[in-house]
Amino acid sequence: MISWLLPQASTFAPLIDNLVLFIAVIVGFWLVVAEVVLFGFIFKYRARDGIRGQYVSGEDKSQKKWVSYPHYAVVVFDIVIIAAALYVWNEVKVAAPPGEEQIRIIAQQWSWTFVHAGPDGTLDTPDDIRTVDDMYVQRDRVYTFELHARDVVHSFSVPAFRLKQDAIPGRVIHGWFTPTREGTFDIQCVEMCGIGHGLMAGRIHIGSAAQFAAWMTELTTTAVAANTITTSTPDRYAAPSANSVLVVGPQSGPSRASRWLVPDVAAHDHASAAGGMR
Amino acid sequence: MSHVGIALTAVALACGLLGAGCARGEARTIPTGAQLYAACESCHGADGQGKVELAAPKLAGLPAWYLTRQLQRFRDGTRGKHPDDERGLRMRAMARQMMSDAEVEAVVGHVAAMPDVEVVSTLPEPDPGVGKTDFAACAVCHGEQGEGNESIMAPRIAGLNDWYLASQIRKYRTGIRGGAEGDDVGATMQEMANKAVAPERIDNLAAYIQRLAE
Repeated sequence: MISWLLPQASTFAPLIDNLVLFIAVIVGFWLVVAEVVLFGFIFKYRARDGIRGQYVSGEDKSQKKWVSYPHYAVVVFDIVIIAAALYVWNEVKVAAPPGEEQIRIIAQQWSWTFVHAGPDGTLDTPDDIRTVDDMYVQRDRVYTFELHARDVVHSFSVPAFRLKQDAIPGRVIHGWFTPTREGTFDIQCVEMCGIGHGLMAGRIHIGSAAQFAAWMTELTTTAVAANTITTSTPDRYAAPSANSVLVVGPQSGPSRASRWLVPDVAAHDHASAAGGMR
Repeated sequence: MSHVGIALTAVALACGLLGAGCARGEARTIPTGAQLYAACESCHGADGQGKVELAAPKLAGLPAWYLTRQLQRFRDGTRGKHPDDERGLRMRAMARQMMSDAEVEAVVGHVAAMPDVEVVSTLPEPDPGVGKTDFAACAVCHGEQGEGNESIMAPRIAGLNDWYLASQIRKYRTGIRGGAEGDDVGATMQEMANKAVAPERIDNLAAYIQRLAE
């Protein structure tokens, strides 16, 4: 039913939708029952001529049951809801299937950088492909991701996946997803991250195996990929020292063998601004 | 409040909402440059003086043609879209707040009208004297006093923040800036930044350029 409003594009999207629906049905049913009882009593015991109002203390068993029985029901249904939620949590967050491909997601004010593993399916290899704000994945392929934040707390959200995961500076957070539907869907930051938070949008492109291969080929040959300079991990995790970062030469050959160390622009700037930078 | 009063209030509210809905269908009014600049002000300062602690350079004193060009480049991804350009990526998102060319023109008009401001040196113990030697190559395009030359897309650089100048030279050298497809001027700058100055002399050059405005 939720999918009428928002497409389901991951394997766990139906699970989460069903859980939300399950909770909504339970809570909705008892809301209706409670309101019917409430308004029924209001009508039944409405003011009438010749009948004095009574103060009901609720000590009689026949009166107390209207409170105690719903309490028992709340406990029972809470347990049912918790059991269902734990099942979904386990399926989504714990029992991750073996990943077929890795992807690294780097959040910063106010952009997303995605490091695609390239043809070998493994990160931190010479064929990695980096893109900004556009993520490319293949349908029915299990992706494991690692989530980084460069500056402040962000939250990676793909509504069509029903995926939402905070990104915290200094921590690498792992997760997974399997896209199930081809198309282009929104990526949002859903944690207030500064004045440009509302502008921090991206797109995830899901394609067939052939389409995905075509995207990767195109990205490898475009200027964006050609200018892939540094290592694919955020500086603070990958830099061999505080002032240096691994640099890949400007397309020096298929192996990109020419690597050398240069001063990290950002680190240098931070250090040289007379203590004024961060 | 009487029933009649409640009914009249409800009708008035409904009319207001209807009017607001109709107004949305009208042509969108372009905000003024000052209104648009409110989004820039938190980083670049009310007078365009910049804020070193936010890595936001000064804007006051820059020519309109250069501001327009850079805003457009941030918007279309020609500048500030490199994955390693942490600050450029920040500016890129903010530049996309300008929804149209007309809005770019409006905010640029506001910034270009700001009187130039002097900035303080931030680089530790620079030697502008050394920088003067290296500046000879820059002067070919940017002018003897760093005054710029619009006809060849060389902006005024005199008086810009030394830390900003140094970081941009390094970005050109490492390919973080100037390598995007279609950035012909950037490609030239990459070449010049690599040929004109040695890495260890970049700070001196930047310090010299900043002092050209004095």
